[in-house]
Amino acid sequence: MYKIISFKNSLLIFLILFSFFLRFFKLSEFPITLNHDEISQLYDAISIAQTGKDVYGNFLPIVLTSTGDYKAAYYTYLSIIPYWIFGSQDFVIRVVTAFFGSLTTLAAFLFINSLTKNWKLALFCAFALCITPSEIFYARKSFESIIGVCLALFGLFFLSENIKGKNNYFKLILGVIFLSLAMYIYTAYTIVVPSVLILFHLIFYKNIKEQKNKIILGFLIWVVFLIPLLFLALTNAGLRFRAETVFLSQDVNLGRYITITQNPAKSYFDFAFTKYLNQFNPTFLFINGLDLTNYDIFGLGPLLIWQFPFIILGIAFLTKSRIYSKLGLFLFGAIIFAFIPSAITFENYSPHRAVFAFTILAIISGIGFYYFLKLVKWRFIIFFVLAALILNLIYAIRIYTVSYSYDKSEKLQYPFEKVVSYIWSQYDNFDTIIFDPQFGDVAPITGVGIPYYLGYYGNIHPSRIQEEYIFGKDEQRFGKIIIRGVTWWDDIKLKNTLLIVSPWSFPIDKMDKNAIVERFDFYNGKPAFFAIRY
Amino acid sequence: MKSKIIPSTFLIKEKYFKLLVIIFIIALFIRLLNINFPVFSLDEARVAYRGYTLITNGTDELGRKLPLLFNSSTDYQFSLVSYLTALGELIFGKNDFGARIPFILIGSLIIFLIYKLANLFDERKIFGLYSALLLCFSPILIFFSKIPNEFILMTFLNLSLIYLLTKKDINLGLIFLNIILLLLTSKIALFTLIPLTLFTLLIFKKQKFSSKEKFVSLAVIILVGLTMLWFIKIPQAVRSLLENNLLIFHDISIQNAIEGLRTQGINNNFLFILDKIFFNKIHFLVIGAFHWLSHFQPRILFGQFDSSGMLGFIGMGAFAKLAIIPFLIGILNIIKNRRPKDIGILLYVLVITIPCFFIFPRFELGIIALAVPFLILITALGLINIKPIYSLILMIFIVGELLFNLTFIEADIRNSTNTRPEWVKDITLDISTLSSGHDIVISDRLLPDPLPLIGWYTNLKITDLKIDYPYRFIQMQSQNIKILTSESQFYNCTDLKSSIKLFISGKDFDREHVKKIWEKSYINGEGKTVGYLVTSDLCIK
Repeated sequence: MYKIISFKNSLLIFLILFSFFLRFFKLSEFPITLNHDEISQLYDAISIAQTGKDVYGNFLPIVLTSTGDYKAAYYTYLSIIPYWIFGSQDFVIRVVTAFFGSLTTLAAFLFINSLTKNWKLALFCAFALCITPSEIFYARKSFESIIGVCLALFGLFFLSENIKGKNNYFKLILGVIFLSLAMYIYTAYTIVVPSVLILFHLIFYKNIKEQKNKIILGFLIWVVFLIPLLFLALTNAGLRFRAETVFLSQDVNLGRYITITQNPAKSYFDFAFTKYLNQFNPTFLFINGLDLTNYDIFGLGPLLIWQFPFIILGIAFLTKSRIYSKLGLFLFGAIIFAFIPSAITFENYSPHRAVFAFTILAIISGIGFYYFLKLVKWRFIIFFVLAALILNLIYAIRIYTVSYSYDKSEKLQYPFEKVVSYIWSQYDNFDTIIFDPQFGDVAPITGVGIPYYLGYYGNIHPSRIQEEYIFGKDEQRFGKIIIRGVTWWDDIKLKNTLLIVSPWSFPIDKMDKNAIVERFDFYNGKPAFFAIRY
Repeated sequence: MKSKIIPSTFLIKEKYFKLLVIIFIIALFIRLLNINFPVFSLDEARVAYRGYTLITNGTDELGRKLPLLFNSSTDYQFSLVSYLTALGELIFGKNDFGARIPFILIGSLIIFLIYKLANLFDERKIFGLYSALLLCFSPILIFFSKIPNEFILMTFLNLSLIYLLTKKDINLGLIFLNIILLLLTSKIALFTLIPLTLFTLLIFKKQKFSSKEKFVSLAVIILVGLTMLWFIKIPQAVRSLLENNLLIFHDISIQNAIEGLRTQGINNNFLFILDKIFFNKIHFLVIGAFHWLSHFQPRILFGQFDSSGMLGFIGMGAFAKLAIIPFLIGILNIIKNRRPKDIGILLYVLVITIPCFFIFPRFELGIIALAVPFLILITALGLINIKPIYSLILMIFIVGELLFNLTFIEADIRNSTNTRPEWVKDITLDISTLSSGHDIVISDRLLPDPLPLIGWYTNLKITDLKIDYPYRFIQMQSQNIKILTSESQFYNCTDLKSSIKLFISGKDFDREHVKKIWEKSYINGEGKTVGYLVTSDLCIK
């Protein structure tokens, strides 16, 4: 009993609880609404739980058509468990990542402790990870990459434990399973995990060279686990389509670049390399990389500004230290590989594909903080640094809870919940309800995932959506509800019809004000949609 | 024992000196290759034309007699670059070679300086040699050596100043000459000279502060102060500083962001006192610091220095891509060994780029060129800390990558067709031919400031204006050549002797009275039609 509640364990338990607190506190309120990814995953999870099919009627799909982006269905299946426990609630879709995200703190502690046998150092790393913005942000946003981080760290922990003894077959198998699962859960890990595994074995070759049979066995198990993934990647058109649509070749700037150089091979290489390096931009990493505000200079990076000096100190410590030189090599190498997936995709920055890299950087910042406290004895400076940390954390919370809601409510499709709830409240009062999903704060965009919003907020049984929802090319229909772009001069002539439109598709200013029966705003108070009845 | 060492050291020195000369010749050769590349930007063409007017009339392009401060499209321009260009043109004539050769020579001569400087940081001769080689093949220094600009000149003068300051017995005359030349070269020197000198004398040199050194320190402060005083008295000087050097205090986006975020906080009932702590002008420090650091992001150093093609080759950073390996090894070595001199290299990078702190949100890529020699030293440190065979292989790849990229000059011209327009040569030649019989009107949508280009690419004489302090000045007329702006209007006139030749962009066809019939069109590097020659019987006011 004494051992379990030792000082070390108490600190670790406190840290894990704190981690759970940061990821679960007001989980249903922040982010302020379910975005189109979350709502589609949630409703598909409900649909599969209740009918065994997704909203398109596919039986136990491995890839979900979803909003046309062909998502891997693993996360949706995982979300069925909290759905069974908590029922149909918004936060259900966020629970799984919040849970795994909280456990990442433990995984980081175990992994670093296993490699270094220095629990204090491991605790600092876990602490740094616990407060890192990217870890919290994606954990609260139902982003499966976070599960990948957690699984990969647990996998590395078991592999690290495995190399300590010859007969740790159980840990070897567990390590392989965790690492394989990470590859299933998020595509980016199909690049990261193999690279990190090779790196791990190269760096700790001396420790494992006498265990060749075990390594071969581990490798074979790994291959067996990955055969279904490989099979899927090769045969599933949906997965291939998704891979193609997010690949670097879709970047419009690359097209121009190829035209200019007239050498596609050189262009691809230059472009990918530059994109790769672009992610090491300090402003991106520490100031605005998470894109939570409309102000580039006041934002939130994947890492806190506070972590910046400690990453440098951490690098200094790992470079200098002989005991931790292998750990240093592994972490530096892991960063190099972990940024690759986001470099070969079409977006300028895709931090969600580089979460593992941020995790490693956070761990290094933890090492730096540990080193700092060893170096500095003046209480005043330590107090100053801790005060700065608290302020930086409050700043991060302020940006996340206030500015993110204000500035990015369009991106989150904030008005859709209210619009759809209103549509259902008026359903019996009209012959037809036309909803034009084009909207926007500063420029027009088209909202997606409407069947999911209708199904979820209308409490519609998924079987009805599967059977009655018509997915047309130019318009979608469900009962009296039509989702399409409006041609206002014709549509205002329709009798007993409710139009839900935005100022981008309807000249609201010139219309009869009495026709406007409801207004739906963005979080910042600007109008997003109007309900109009003529 | 001593008698054996001295001759052998001497011999090694000799051997390396010959090698250095060979590297210098290679550097010169690479910089002379494709002498007309890169095509001059508008401001470079202005400097080149100014050089010509200085040697022919003793005046600048606006007719001012040997001024100390010149005009450019973005700022006042200090004078040394223009006079150096004039010197080149005085010897080699009014052509690209004449305008570029002073900078090619200076860019190549830095090789000797970096070798000497490298010895200050690490006594191993191979360190200096690698530094010289890396400098010889640095894409960005090659690029800056081929155009009339202040950055390559400042790089040379900064290094020579450090060299002179770190000598045991400092030569006051040479140091003062160097300082004055720096002050004549660029406004940036007003921000870098004091920290650079003080850092070198007080921190880097690490020896007792001699009376000569105290004198130099004081003199630098006084000279910079006097130059600043002289500059600040010039009309528009404060504007020039705010718009170009202290932009962080001038940029409205920071103030807007503070107000916007505080409003969000008030609307959301967030503690106002906390918002005041988080969103205030102290944030300038954080923004400035990260902006400063962002200038050294790996993308700029090893990926793509300038995607617009204005300052750098397409697909290349300040260094070849593979140089990132020795660079990282160099950095790790500095961190690991913590030798004060090695740390000094890192600090020099920061000291010399201090102006980046104040120029948010603009990226001033030229300033990075000033730090490139020190980044080269870090890379060389990496090279000497790995097995020689690996260093050799890396160097072969680094050189190979550069040479491979130099075969893509046509792509560079296409890429920079907007910033370094080659197609304007055709237009200026047509203007020159037609101007003898017709009035010429050039749309500012086609060429925003065409007269210096005409002056450089043709033999037409541009009218003198004699404006005392031209800040971002655009000359609107010269003899029978006029600029068509958005305010210009066409009208029927009776006194027109012959038809007007209009050089316009596609957008100008939207204007009233401009018929969509053209005699000739002009195509840019990307194959797009950018300009038209149109004949008109209307007058313009």
